[in-house]
Amino acid sequence: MSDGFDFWILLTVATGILILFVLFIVVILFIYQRKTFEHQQKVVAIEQNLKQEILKTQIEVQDQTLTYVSREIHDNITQVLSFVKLSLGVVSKDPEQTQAKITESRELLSQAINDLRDLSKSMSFDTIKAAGLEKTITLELERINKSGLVKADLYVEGDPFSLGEKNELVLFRIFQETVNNALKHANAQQLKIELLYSPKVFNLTIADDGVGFPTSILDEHRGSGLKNLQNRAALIGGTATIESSPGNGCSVKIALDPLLENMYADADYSNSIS
Amino acid sequence: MTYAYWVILIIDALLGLLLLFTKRLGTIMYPIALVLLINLVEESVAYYFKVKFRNNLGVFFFFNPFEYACLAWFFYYNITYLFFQKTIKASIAIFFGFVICYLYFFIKLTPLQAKVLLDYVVVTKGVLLIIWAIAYIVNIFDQIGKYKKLSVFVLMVAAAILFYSCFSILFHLSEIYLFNYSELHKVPLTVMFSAQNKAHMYASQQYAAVKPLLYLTNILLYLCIFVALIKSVAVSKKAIN
Repeated sequence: MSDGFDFWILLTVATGILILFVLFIVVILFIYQRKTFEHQQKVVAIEQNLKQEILKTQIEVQDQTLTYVSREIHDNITQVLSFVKLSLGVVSKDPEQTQAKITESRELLSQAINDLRDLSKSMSFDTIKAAGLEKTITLELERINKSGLVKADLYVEGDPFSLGEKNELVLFRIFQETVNNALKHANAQQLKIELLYSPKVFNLTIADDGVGFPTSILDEHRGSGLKNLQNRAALIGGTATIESSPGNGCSVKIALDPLLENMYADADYSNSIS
Repeated sequence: MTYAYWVILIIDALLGLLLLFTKRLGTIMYPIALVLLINLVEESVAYYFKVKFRNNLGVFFFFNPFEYACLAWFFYYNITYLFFQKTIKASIAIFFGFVICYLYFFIKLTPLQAKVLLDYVVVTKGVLLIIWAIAYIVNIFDQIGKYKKLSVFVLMVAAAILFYSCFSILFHLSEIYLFNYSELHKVPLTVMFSAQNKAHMYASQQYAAVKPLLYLTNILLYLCIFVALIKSVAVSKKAIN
């Protein structure tokens, strides 16, 4: 009787252990599936945010280009063409100066054509897509140097490689914002841009010799533009380090891991159970 | 239950051997196939020693580190935490070192002392395997963000190792307790290891109750390994196609 009782207890416990084992695996799989689902939702939200931010960046770059183009047309080309119009108007009244005026007008027209050609090279999303980040920054710096507002130098270390269209667009926008800040607020005389391409890290450093500012403003509401730089860098998986102090200029360094970035960009939702 | 244990062990070991030689086994399952072979050899040699010399403790003492090394190697493959990978490597070396150092003394010990030492070795092995199994389970949740696929059959084997190790610890700790009590209070071992030894202690009953459950979890482990081996081949075939 006692043995029989023991057998049934043992059988019950053994069945309980088997059920517990199955339950254990089922619970782990259930939690795993739920966490995978949550992760996928998070990734989708990040992707949507990234798309919105890229669109915003595209519009901003376009906006800046249009502002530059309209300013160039108004301040430069229109002036030159108006002068040509006036010169040619004088020709009919003063036949003696005809040849000199025509020569002058031809020179001015050549200058206008050159300016228009330069304008056609203005930065747009297509330029970044076709030429890449390094070339686009070079063109932008040529334009800045030509304006005479500031002296800008570019240093490139390593062999340039593509970081992906979207990422390069964001990086270029960061570069534009930082240069704009240096020109508008810092009264900088010199800009130093560094690009470092290596398999493990990509760095974009923009340093100016302007008035600088205390970095404590980053924690206050006043530094919202700088915060925006950091947020943009974080959006593509990078980090933005801002170093500055009053009287010592400012340096903005964007660092990102190209491999990690590719993984992030190519991420598919392949989490599954086999 | 002993027959069922032998049958499933032989089937598993032969299947593992076949898959190893035909190179149709996934890399993650190599250590498991090896542990089956080691177990089969260990059990066979132990049976021979039991019949021939009436003492097979040395066999278990000798084979335990190999068994542990294979199971730890299995977790080493499946855990991505660098700290745990280093610790697993170190634990294998320490385990081997300990057994090699003690093997000489082990032979000289009395059977009772040798059994206690062997129990401690098995308990240590069990504790370490439980830690690695828990680390593996935590690790699979961490892998979600890294887009790594979860293999259910690997999880099944890890869970079975976890269950088996828990019962193994319970069983061997009660055995150690009973041996020590017998030594201390001069109670005959036959009395201590009797399930009816209610007068003496709970440990005797625990020992008697856990023994069949240990067999059960061991058979469960081999069944899970069997499924995992079959599944591993199916996955390899799919990958080839």
